[in-house]
Amino acid sequence: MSIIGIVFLVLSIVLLGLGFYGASVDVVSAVGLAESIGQMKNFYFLLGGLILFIVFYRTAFAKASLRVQHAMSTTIRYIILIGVGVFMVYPLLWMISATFKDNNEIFSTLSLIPTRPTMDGYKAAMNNYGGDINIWQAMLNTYKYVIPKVIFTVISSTITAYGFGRFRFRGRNFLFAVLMATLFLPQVVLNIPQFLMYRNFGWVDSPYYLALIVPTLFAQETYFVYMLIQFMRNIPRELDEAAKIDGCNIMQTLVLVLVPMLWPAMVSAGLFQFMWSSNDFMGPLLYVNSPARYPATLFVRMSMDADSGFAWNRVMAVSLISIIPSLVVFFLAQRQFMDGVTAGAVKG
Amino acid sequence: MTNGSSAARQDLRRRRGLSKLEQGYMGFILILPWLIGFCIFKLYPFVSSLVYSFTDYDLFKGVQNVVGFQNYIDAFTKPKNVKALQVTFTYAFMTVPLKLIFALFIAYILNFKIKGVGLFRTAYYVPSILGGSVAIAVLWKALFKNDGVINTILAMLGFESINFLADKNWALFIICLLRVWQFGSAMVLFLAALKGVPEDLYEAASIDGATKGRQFLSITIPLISPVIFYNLVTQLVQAFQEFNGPYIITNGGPRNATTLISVIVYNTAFKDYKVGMSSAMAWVMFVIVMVLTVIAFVSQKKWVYYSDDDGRG
Repeated sequence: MSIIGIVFLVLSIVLLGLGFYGASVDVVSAVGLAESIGQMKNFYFLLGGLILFIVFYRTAFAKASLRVQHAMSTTIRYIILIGVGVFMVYPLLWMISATFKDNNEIFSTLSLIPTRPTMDGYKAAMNNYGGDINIWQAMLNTYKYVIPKVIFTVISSTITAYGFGRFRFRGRNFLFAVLMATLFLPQVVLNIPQFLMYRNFGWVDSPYYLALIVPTLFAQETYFVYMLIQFMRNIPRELDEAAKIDGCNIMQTLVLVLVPMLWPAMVSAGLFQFMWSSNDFMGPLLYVNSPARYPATLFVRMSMDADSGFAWNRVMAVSLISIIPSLVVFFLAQRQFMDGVTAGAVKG
Repeated sequence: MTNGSSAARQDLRRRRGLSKLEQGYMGFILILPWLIGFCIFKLYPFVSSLVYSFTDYDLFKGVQNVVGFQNYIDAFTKPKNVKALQVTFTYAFMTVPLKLIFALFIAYILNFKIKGVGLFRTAYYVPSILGGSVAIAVLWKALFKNDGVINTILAMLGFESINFLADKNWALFIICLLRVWQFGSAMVLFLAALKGVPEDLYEAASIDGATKGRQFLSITIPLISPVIFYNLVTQLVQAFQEFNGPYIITNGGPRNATTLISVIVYNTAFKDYKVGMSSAMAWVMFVIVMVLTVIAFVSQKKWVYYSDDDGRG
């Protein structure tokens, strides 16, 4: 065993010793150091046990055959992956199960299976708040602006990307640098003047969500323009030129030649815009005031403020309903999401 | 694209001088909507926010006085504002490294020939796609509140319960954890980059007797450094703008422990109606983000390795 191994072995023994000592201390009557060791006993056990396990693991398999070593490290990898997976997925599963629990049970057990399944949470979730808004109206309101935003973003970003990606014109390089700079421009700097401007236009609390939708007509979500330009670079220019020789004008070249090739990237852009707009909280917070026009994000927050403390099954049901469309879209289009993430980034 | 074909392309373009001119004109028309939108929705707000920051603009009464640098002096002297700056830095420098290290670690493990990579990748990615939503912020509150799920777990293991969201030492970390939990998109990028590292480099290194750790530091890190850089910049810019988590989960509390700059910018403008002061805070944040981005871009010459092979770099 190496020197480092011995040091760690000693460390783990000390930690476990502290743990056993802590377990023997009566926390209520003890004072000072003994008290804090008593309170920390579980921590000492966990850490000491972990270090001891690693020391044994390394000594036991240092001389083992390669096959055993390989099998062991594969096992460790799966343990880590599954452990992290639990950490990632448990909260979501807990959320689903909480919607079927009654309020006394929600926080008293960790079990994902309700002992007395009930639909009370969902029944309560259907109720109106003061008659103006309920979850269905809120969902409807959300998609009233999400769907136009998605369509407009995809079309306007594709046209802008086409202009930058395929044409040379005076000032192109400067304007492209401006475009790239807006990629790093924090939205927080723009929020207040934008709010004042939209207030002058009469767009705040507009029944058509103009403040949220109109900017997307002008390709203002730079990330998607950038992503589409990157993607367009990989489409050979010879295709455009061939189309041109065949008599296509510029828009025909875009629609008939490039769009079919760009389609996967356009779908990715649309999907991301769908997710981001459905999740957007700041936009509606600033530009939607009347409860009757609340989208799901504001409705969920309102129901949390109104109910937290007693009806958590209702809050969880409202929250879950609000993200179901996003979940469905994600599971139907996982592939496009993964490709989309990598398409926008630098190519290694 | 090989050099040959690009030379041929240029040649083709040279021979059709007239159509090139026409194209030039059209390109500008195509980007014109973006340019108009940029001037109205980006440039004008950007400049006017700078102008407002030197005034006492009130949300309802408009500008009454020009106050010079007073708002900026307040931004760096009023205890509430200084605290927001401190908290934002703490938050960003806690969240970004944790998230990136975690993302890289998991991507590294997934890159071994693991069965069910797709399944794991999906499970890890779901939080990233939903994490920004209010529903998840509400869930986070349910997990970490005083009688929430995490405290139930702690009680089962025999620990004292912790009032995470009301404890000023914990609250910020819980907000940070919500972002670290969303490491999925950074991980997907790292995984794609790791797959691009040629296998034979590792083989050569292990023949030379390099350990796994050594290989990771000397081969993997340099070769995926462009992606590390990309993740670093985007996550940093994002972290400095974090709003939903602190606003929904803790509402900036306890005792302003989670009042990040974006929260104070919002509250100053829309609760205290001090648009001028709020704009100054927003500009302070903008300058910080810009300086960090510039530092990242300048420093990349030192540590980011771009392969120049076939110009994809």
